[in-house]
Amino acid sequence: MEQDIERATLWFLTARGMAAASGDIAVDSQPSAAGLFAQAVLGLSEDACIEGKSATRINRLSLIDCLSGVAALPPEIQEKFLTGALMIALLDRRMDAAEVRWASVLASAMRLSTQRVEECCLGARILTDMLHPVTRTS
Amino acid sequence: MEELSANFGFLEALDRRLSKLGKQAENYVHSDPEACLFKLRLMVEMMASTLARVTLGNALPPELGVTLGELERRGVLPRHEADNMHAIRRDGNSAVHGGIAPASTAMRRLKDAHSLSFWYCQSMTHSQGQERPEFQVPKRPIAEFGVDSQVAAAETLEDQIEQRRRRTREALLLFANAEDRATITKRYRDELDGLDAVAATAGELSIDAETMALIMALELEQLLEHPAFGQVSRNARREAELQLNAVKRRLDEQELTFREARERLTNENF
Repeated sequence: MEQDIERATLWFLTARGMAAASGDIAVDSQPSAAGLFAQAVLGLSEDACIEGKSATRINRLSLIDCLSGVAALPPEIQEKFLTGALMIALLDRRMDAAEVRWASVLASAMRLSTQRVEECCLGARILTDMLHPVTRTS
Repeated sequence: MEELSANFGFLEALDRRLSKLGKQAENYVHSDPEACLFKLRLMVEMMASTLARVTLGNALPPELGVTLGELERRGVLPRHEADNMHAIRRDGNSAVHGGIAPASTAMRRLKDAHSLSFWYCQSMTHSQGQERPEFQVPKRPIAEFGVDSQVAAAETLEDQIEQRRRRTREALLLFANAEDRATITKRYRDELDGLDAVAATAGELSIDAETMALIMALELEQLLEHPAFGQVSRNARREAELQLNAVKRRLDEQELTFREARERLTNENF
C-alpha cells in the first residue's frame, strides 16, 4: 500500500507539472484525466490516489524531487508515467514550449530512447482520442 | 387514560382485547409489517373463537382455517368476511414463519380487519343500519427532528452514496477542491522556468526538447485530423507545423539568451 501511495504522489506530481506547463487548459477540459489514468493504467486504488496527493505528501516535494523519483521507477512504469504526462499535454490539442520541456526532462531523467518516447507519445495520442476533450477554440 | 385507536376504538365497548390488538397492529403497520400481521391474525383468531363458541358450542376445531370454514359453511360468516379472515390468517401465518411482508400488504390487511371488526361488532351486538366509520390510514411514526423514519433512512442512504461519489471524484481530480490551485500552479511554473533554464544551459541527457517537440507534433497532426475535430489533413499538418515552429522559436530564444549571457560573462571576466 505504501508503495502505491508513493507512486500516486509521484504520478500526480508529474501530472501537475504538465498541467502547470500547459497553463491548466488541458486539465480544465478533462479534470479527471489524471485520476482516470492513475486508476486505469497505473492500477492505483482510490485510497492510494487520495492519500498520495494529500497536502502533507505532495506539497513537500518539488519537481526536481519528481525527476529523481521517476528516474528510480521500473522501466515499464516510467513509460506509463511519460505516456500519461504526454496525454495531459495533448488534451487541448496544443503544444507549448513549457510542456515540451517538461516532457523532455522527464524522458531524460528516465533515460528513455527516442523510440520509446515515440511509443509513449503514440499511446498518449490514443488515450487523448479516447478521452475526447474539447479544443481550446471550441 | 390510553388513547383509543382511530380505527378500532369502537371495539372497546365490546372487547377491549380486540381493540388493543387493533391499535397495536396500527402502530406496527409502517415500522414492523410482520408484527402488524401477527396482531391481526390474533384478532381474527379471537373473533373466530368467540363466533364458534356462540354458534358451535364447545366443539371448537383445533385449526383456525377449519374453524373459519365451518363458520362459513354454517352461514355464520358471510363470504366476504370469510375471505378477509382467510387472507389475514394466511398473511399472518406467513409473517410468523419468517416471510417478508411489505408495509403495503400489512396496510391492506389492516383495512380488511377494520371492515371485519365493524361487521363483527354489529353481529355480536345485533345492531344494524349503523354507518361504518371510514378507515383512517395510520400516520407514519415521526422520528427525531420531525423526519419520517423511512424518509430518514432513505436520506441516510443518499448521504452515503453522495459521500462515496465525492470520494471517487476526489480520487480522480488533479487538485483537491480545498487546495489553493493558483498558488500551487505558480510554484510549479517557477520550478519549470528553473528547469527550463538548466536544460537550455546544460542540455538534456537522452532526448532534447527539439526532438520531443517533433515527436509530439507528429501525434498532434494525427489528433487534429481526427473526425471528431474535423480538420482536413492539410490543415492539420499546417496547424501542427505552426505549433512546432512556435516551440522551436521559443527554444531558439532560450538558446540565444543563454549564449548572450555567456558572452557577457566572458567579456566581464576576461
